[in-house]
Amino acid sequence: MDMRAFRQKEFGGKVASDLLLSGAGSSMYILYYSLFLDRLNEASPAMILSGFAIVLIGLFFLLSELGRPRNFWRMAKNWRRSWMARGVIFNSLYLLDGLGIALAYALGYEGIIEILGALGLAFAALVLIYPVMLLRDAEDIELWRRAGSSIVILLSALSTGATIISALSLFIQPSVLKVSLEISMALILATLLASSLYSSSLGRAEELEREAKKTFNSILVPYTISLAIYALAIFSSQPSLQGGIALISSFIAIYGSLEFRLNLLGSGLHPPIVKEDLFKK
Amino acid sequence: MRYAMVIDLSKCVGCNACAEACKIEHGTGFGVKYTRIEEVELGSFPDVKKAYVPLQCMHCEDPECLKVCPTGATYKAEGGVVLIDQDKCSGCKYCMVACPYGARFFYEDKARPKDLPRMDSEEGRKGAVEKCDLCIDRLRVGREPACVEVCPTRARIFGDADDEKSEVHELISSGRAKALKPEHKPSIYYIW
Amino acid sequence: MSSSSPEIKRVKTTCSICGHNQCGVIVELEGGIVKRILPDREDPMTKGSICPKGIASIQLLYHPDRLKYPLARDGPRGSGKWRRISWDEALDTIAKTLMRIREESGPEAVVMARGTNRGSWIRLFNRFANSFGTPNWTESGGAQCFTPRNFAQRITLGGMALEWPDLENSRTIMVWGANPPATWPPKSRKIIEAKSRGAKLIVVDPVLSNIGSKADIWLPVRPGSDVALALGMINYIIENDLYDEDYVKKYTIGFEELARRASEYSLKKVSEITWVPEERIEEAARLYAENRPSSIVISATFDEIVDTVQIGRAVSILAAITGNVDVKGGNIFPETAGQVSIDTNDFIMIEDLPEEMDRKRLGGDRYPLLGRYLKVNFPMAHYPTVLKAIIEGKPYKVRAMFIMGGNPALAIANSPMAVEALKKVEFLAVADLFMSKTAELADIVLPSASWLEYDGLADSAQATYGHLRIRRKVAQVGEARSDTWIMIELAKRMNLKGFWGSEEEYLDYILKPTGYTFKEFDEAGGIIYHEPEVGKRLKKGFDTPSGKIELYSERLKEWGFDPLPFYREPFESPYSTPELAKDYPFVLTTGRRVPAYFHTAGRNIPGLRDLYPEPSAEINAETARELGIEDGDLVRIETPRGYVIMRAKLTHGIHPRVIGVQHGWEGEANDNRLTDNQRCSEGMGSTTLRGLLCRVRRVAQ
Repeated sequence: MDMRAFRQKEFGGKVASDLLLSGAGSSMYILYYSLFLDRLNEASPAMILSGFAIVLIGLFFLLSELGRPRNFWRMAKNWRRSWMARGVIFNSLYLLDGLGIALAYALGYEGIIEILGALGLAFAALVLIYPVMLLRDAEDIELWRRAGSSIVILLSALSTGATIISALSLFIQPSVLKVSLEISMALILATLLASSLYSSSLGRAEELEREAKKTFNSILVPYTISLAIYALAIFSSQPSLQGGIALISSFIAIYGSLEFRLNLLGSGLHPPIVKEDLFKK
Repeated sequence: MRYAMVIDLSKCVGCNACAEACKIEHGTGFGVKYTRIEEVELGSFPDVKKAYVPLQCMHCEDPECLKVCPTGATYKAEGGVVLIDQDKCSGCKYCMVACPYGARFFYEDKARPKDLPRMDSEEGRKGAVEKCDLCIDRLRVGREPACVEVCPTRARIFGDADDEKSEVHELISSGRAKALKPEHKPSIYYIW
Repeated sequence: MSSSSPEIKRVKTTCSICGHNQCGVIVELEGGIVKRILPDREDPMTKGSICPKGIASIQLLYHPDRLKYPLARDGPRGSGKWRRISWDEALDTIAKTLMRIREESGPEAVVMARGTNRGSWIRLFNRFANSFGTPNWTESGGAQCFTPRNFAQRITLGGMALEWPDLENSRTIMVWGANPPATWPPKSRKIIEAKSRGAKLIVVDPVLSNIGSKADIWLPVRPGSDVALALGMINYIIENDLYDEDYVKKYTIGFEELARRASEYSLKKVSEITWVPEERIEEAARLYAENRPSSIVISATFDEIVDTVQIGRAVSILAAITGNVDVKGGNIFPETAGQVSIDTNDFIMIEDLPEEMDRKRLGGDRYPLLGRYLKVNFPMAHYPTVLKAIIEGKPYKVRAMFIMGGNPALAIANSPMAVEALKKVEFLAVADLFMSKTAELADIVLPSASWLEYDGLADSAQATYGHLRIRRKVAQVGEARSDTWIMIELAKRMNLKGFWGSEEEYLDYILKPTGYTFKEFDEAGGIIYHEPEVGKRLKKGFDTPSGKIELYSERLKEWGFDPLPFYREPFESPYSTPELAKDYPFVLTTGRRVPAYFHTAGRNIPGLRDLYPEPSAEINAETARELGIEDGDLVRIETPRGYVIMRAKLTHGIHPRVIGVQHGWEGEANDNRLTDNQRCSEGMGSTTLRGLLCRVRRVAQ
């Protein structure tokens, strides 16, 4: 009836999940690998491989979203122009690298792990950046092209990755629990600051601005709770308690990151096709 | 050669003959309307202005959809017509997200009211994205698109914008026919 | 369509998906399959008009649910159990049963009811009834469609001039209670063309519709108050000397009396009654009277408000005093293209019906303008009275109903009562394209042929002025047969006087004065067209007792009615029933149309359903906001008689206290659960479908 901005309806929960998982998995790998850069032999294979496993789960979400999964292999063709195609390539390279690392661990070829690991770092960086670039590809959806969106996507991905490390550490490698708690808190705080700063810079006048504000606000509550719970963990001295808190906190942070992505996708508004000047001669 | 269409909004009464002819011509499933009519209003009672605006794929010069398509299923053919090679489409639907005109469709059986029969002709397009193809098959044998052919008030004018003698060329170059969201350089123009 | 497709066969024929417009079309077949239906731009009258319904007729043709052969009930009524029977058995049974009932209870115990009007069989139906001997033929439309305005025009102008606006030559066009883009494609096309020539457009409609969007002046009249608006405009035109004095003197009688009556309707008073701003009424009246020639386009609204004879009279008078009747660019009189006219008393054999039968016609006592043979138009039985006769057996018991192309279970006012009657009647035979809600209750169901499936002539009363076009069969569905064939076959079995041996014989008979047989007509191209002869009646006199246009109707006075139009409030309204209006604060108009559907037909056609998938009701955007209703929300609209559930369609183009509800849906969205068939209009018995009271609220989604 009125001439309004219209929102995209195709990208919903499955795509949000894929974007989150690829961001979190690659972040997890980057952060964890960086911790053990100079002492790879002390790195936990399970932690290393989790970074790939999480991205793999994300890929399944993407596949389930496709109308014709059998044409998935064609999705690299337009890499010259399409970020979606590039993303398929990056994810594939990253996962292949992960497969290589897994085999290396399994068959005991420790030597190549360092090379594959370093390659993995490069691929992971590409996988991390790809959701940002993917969304920017939709030139008509201005919200996805704003610096604020890109920054918060990256920071929330990094922080989610960090929280997953902290959550898993109790079970896999308790020695990293403390440092992962600190890194998680720092990244969560950074995300909170970025998101709230950006949200406050937005007005309420237009529908687009109101939707954007809602989006950036959606991460604030879960992340604040998560931060507070992490704070508790820091002040507690018992590792098992810390680990338990980290687990809870991680779930809340994951939820917050997912909420943010869902809202970002849901408020992907196109400017109206028809405007008032249609009625003026 | 550049195909173009000019739609005279003073003549469009929103009867939907074009939308129906398109559906019959292509056998599209429920919810898939390559061409559709948007009703827009301005003002408040009793001083209201209302218009009916037919919308469809604009066959843009530098299409958003083509840029983002990962498989290259979306491509440009002769006359600037933007087409989808259904065999290549993976159904990722990013093109639908990117289109500034909401002109692309993906059929879902659950959208169809249960009491309605399903269109057999949908089978070939299952799982792929579809949209207006400017009736390219008809253009290739010298016919006009179905929507142009049926419009009872002759609101749609079709032709080669590069042909200086054509009506569409005259309307477009004189500025009488205008584009919606002109930054995307569509091939469908409107007179209002 | 690929480049290696089979050869395309093109057949010129005439669409009859609605029956009223008879748009000339071209059907394209590929390999014997109908592929597309296109407008025939070369048709001299329709010139390329078409609508989505016509285009989607292909889906009607090949629809899996089409009735393909005659059926007999094989279980309790409405149980859905059917037994396939042969045409012979079906027709024999119907003929024998109707004859037996006629023998036992008199012919009046048989009611023939039709619904839509889709081709040459419509008046054959009347002929059948009169030949059979029953006075009780009726229509779902009937007193709510065409008949009242036809009557009003005939007694005022001596003919149906309001049905034929000479749009191609008009400088001003006033569309009153009609939406041609949805329902009259040829008129829609002509109005748009006129506008491009610079013609001005006035639209009278509570809702800003498709045609309303093109109006220079929109008069958002309160539903049911149209007569006041007309009288207000008449008064303004008389008081400001905008009427055609010459024309009035030469061609009308009763002007003085009219002026006196009209003087009661000042602009101020009328504006208060109709809720239309004074300036707009003034502007419109002035434009219509001064920017001549002006024509008026009308439709079913005139037959669905409380005073259906009044509105037809008032607007006929408006056209007459401004000199716009029987002039180029105004409203002119229809003529046939030379074929036998089916719209005559002669053709329908009304004089064969004995006078005692005329007096027995149901509803004729109370509604003589509808039900008595007054030699103005065709008398018919009053549907609500028919239903009562079935249910209560008073004034006598109706034992059989034969329904062709009608769906009274959904289409007429007070659906619950209609369904009760259909279930109760002793014998019910229905001919239709699909197993409609009415057909479900029948004893025998006959499969009718659609317009693509029979040879015939497009000679309906409302469309074919000076124009006769052929209909060519292009397909066959199961054993479906045309309604004409059904009538002829039944007539044979019942030995009815005045019928033919075959469908083709009948068509030859209709064509006889043109010099063609049907086959010859087909070979010669299948079209005859004469430009209408304008001004004939100005020269030779109008078809009224005085020979002039009767602004003041002596005949109405004779029959016991006011000889001049006057306004009265609807049976329920904010002013006539203010107490009720406290509980039901909105004014309701039902019967809103959309281009995809024709009355109750079309929802099962996939291509059409996609255009308008769900029943909708128009509500003012501000009102909706106040009530917490958003666009697309499910709402419950209720009158003292019942409720419907529909989707809210928010618009600024409707008065904040008016609600418009769509027509023709089934179940909880059937708008005839809201309408009233107990209080009917004076003399004509029209049920009130527009101008009621209702309330609205949002419901669980």
